[in-house]
Amino acid sequence: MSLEIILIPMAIALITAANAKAKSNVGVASPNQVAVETRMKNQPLLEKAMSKISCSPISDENVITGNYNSVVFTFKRNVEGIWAASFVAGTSLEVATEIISKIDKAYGLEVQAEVLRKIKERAPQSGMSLESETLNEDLSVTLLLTVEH
Amino acid sequence: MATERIRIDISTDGTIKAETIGILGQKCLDYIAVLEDLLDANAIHSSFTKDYNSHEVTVTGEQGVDNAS
Repeated sequence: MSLEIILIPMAIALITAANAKAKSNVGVASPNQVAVETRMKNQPLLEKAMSKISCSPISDENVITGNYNSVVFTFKRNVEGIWAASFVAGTSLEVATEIISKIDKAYGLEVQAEVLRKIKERAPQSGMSLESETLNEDLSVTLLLTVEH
Repeated sequence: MATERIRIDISTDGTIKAETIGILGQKCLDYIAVLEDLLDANAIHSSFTKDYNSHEVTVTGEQGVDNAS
């Protein structure tokens, strides 16, 4: 061991899920709407995550509309390129946060799969070969790469 | 020379922890940029472990370590 590095994929904004904020009446058109900020930045991965939990995403340029158990919401990119959700009037903050948490969890798994795919695809070009791949009890994945000389 | 490896842990929330193994001294720093490119990710923290201060010894030809006192 000589160096430990923590990395955040570009698909994730540099905030933790725990820091994602749920606010009422922030940046939304109607004062009765609920807005929830997220860490999600990658549109295809967000759409996949929404599909995985049956949110039926419908994309239209910079807006993604979803529906979870008849609760309708839309994602729009903020100025930092991060997707923020707004829920229709009458949705409680608790329900909105719960739905976004489910999407965030599915999104994390999509990011994990995407990172795995990139490593397998790109490692040989970076002078490395995959020695082993382990699925851990917590569903994290451990890869061991050998540096080629 | 010991085999050089990189261990990568990818959590279910998408965050990544990487650890170089058997890569000594300043050379291990090169792998921050390599991993950022490989993973399309930003390094937000890095720390050295005990092997950073280890020395790589190269023995060539008939030279060796003389243990005789």
